[in-house]
Amino acid sequence: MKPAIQILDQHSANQIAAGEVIERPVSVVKELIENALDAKAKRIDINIEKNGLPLIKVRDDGYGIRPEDLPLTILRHATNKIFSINDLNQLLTLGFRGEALPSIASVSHLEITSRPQDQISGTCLTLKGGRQPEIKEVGCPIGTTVAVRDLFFNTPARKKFLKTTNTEFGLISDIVGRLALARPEVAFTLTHPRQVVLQTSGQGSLLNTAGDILGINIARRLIPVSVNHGDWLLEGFISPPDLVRSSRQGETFIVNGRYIRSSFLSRVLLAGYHTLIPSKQYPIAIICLKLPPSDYDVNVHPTKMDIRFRDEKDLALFIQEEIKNTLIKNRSVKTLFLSVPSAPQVPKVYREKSPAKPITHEQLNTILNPNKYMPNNYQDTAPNLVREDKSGQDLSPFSEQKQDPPDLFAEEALSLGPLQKFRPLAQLFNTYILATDGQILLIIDQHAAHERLNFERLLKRAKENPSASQQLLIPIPLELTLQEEQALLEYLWALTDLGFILEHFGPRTYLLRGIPAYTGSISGEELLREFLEQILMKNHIPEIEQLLEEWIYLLACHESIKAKDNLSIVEMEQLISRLSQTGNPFTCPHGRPTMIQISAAELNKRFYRR
Amino acid sequence: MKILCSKDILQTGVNTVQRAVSNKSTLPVLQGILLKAEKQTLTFCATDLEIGIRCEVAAEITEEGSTVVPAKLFSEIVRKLPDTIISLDLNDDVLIIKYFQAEISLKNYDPQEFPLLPDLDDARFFTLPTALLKNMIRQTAFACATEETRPIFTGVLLNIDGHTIKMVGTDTHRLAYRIAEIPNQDELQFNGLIPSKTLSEIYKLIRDEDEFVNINFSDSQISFQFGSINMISRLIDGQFPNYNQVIPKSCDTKIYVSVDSLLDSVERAALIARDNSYANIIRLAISNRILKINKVTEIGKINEKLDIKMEGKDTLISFNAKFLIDVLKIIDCEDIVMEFSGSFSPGIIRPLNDSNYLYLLLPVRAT
Repeated sequence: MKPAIQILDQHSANQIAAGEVIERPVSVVKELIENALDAKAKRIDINIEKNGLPLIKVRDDGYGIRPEDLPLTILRHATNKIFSINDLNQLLTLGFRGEALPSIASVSHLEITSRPQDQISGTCLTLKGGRQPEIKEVGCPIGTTVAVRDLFFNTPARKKFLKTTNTEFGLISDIVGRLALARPEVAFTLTHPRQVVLQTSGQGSLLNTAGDILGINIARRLIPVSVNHGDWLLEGFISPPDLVRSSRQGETFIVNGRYIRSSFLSRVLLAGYHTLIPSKQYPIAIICLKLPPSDYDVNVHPTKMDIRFRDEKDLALFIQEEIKNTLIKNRSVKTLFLSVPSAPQVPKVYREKSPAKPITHEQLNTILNPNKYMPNNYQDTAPNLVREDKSGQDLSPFSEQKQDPPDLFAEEALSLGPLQKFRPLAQLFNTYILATDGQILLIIDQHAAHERLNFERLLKRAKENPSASQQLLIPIPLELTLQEEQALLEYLWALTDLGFILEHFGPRTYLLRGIPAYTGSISGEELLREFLEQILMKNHIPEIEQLLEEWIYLLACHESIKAKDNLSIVEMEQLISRLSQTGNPFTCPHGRPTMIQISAAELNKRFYRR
Repeated sequence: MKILCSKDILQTGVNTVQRAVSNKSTLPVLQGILLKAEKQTLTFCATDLEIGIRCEVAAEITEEGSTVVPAKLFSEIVRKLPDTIISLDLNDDVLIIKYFQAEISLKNYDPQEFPLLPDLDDARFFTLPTALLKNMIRQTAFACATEETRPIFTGVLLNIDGHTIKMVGTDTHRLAYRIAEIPNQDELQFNGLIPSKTLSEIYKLIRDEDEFVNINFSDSQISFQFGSINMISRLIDGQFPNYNQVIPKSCDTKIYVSVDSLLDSVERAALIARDNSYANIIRLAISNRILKINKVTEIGKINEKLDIKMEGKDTLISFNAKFLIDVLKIIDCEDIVMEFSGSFSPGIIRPLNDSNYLYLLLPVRAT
């Protein structure tokens, strides 16, 4: 009797593998480009017809395939990229599974033409649905050209599920763009079918490539990041907080030249922008990581778009901190782009002038004498004591102690921030403060500004407060899932430090006998659940101030002056000078801007001066 | 329905029952007040299905009937009415309010839709002196939890066992316990959790001239009748924890201190500790017959010293100042006894020479 279990023939196996690797035309494009990149190509031309089904052609100038190797390319698990599984730890090429070409071949009419540099002529291999291989000698330039025709001709089901031509081609141009960002040293050209849709110079500059892909205007505003930490190198460009998108489409992650998708990196990136951009908004970023190959694993899925990192927690911390630092160094004020009225007499040149440059920390610190516009008494005032404008008399109740201040009242050194030169002119609508440094008009939202100030103060307080624990008369029983219990046990010390007192009570059941004494409006149990959730979902050990953040937001908001509150000039001066000392004066804790600016140039433009 | 009455009478009735009107309800009729004219009595009635209040006033009724007026609007109107005789006249579902030569017409709800305040089936009954009930509420209800996460802690436990009545309130951070004797009750047994909101409404509505409160109860409801007011409330469902178990029976340190001076000291220390955003934690240091409260924060520092009588060991213990202030404000005597057993065990506060009240306070474990 014939055994019931049989080994599939190679053709069927290839088609099944194709189901995983070759989902739609864009997958073919990605695999072929990656092969070209692995062949050390300097130039890659991609030609697409319609949605990619009729023709996908990728031509490179790489080192080519030798005639005797050509038939092997379409065999499964045949590759020149690794020799054994151990090589995966030192993997530097994009591919390694030896599955792409056989998979593509099994669902299309494939034609591979290749000529290594040392050969006079090229060799051409054609296949129909992975069968009837024909090899002939042809004349061709150095490199390899792979043409895929009639994709999915033998898998009608796949074909049926494809989207419109626009969608499919959109996906293709998207992946080409991202692969181009991953390899700025390679010149990419995408034509569809005759028209050049996308082209990069291949001169090796990531910023230039970003300009080619994302547009010059965006590229111009991107902030470079470049830091290393041991073996890790983080490079790339991120957008300033006021340049955001409503989806994650603007994020490109590249690990050792491989474009990947990673919800982990995406989350870490967003964490770096925390409180700087509003919720549901995402930055534009090109993040290139260089890590030793042994620190990550791409052999997660056949498409190799997923990645696992060995040391997620440290990596997260490193990236998040660096992004935050970079953003802080390059903080800028939102510019009010006054739209110039479309009067015919406005000469076109005006519009092409680049807008006034946003203020940055560095620029401000180098301009002029910082004390020039400051009222004299700012120099020695404790930051939270309001004084009479000119009397110079100290209203502080602690004035006597100032002579010999005990530690308790030690003054913080007044570091003058980026707004030091601004002095208030007036309050507008009882809501906005108008301020100027002589060159730029700032419009400050008094509530948002005060909110930022209070937020940072309260956050600091939450950090400094000792983790006292209010004991409970009647403990709260907590039933946990196995996963939650693991997290709880692993971070029991952290929880104890925060002020939780826990007692094991039964299988997966714990008694909460004490909760942090400062929990505001949040109940202790809620807080503990939040803690576990952050560990499980975000892989991140939260600090008390992060757990209480929502509450601190609320407190900060309540303790702040509101719109419509009348302010005197002295109060405005104080607000500006204190805002100036905050870590981030430019956005409120919810990510809305605290101020916008109008430059003299913009006003001039508005009045058609010059 | 035709009624003649004074503005004052209307105002009294509306103000009394309005506390039970639900603010937001999917049942519109619950945002109204039921007016019922019967014989020579006008009855006001309102409920949010948790609490119901009924109040009867005398009025001159020429035609009996009932209607439901929109509570908020009606009470605003009543407040603004001139001080004179008002005529209420119901015409289908429109209530016409007449005074002097003016009139207001109000569209009313259908009284048929208004839920009847339940009469307690097989209710048991007892009577309490008003002053005692008021005081018991004052001394226990404040300790209840305000958030709803664990509903049993939002109510006060009322326990009656023959001649003794006990009330216990706790939010798990502190516990207030009051016991009293009630005269001439035989073999009455009751154990129920009364929402603290109900109790605080009763506390506000009881007047000193009401001498006694009649209390009826069933397994799920309780009603209080005093003066012309009848208030009914559901009882909170659930098992109140065994509070006897958590009250320590012995102590290592016992101090005797004057309520006024301790309250003043704690309040002053709390001022320094306060930055309106965080719990005020203060530390009591007890040694050598001196109670010290020291507090240092970024706004200042305070050193309080009180002479006390003490027995037992020296000790150090931290509390949330609010919980301490709360109890010192409601205690009815000049001196208190405080008992401690180390920094991590509950502290107990009782009035000197009075075993009817006890307050248990959980310490804060400072690092």
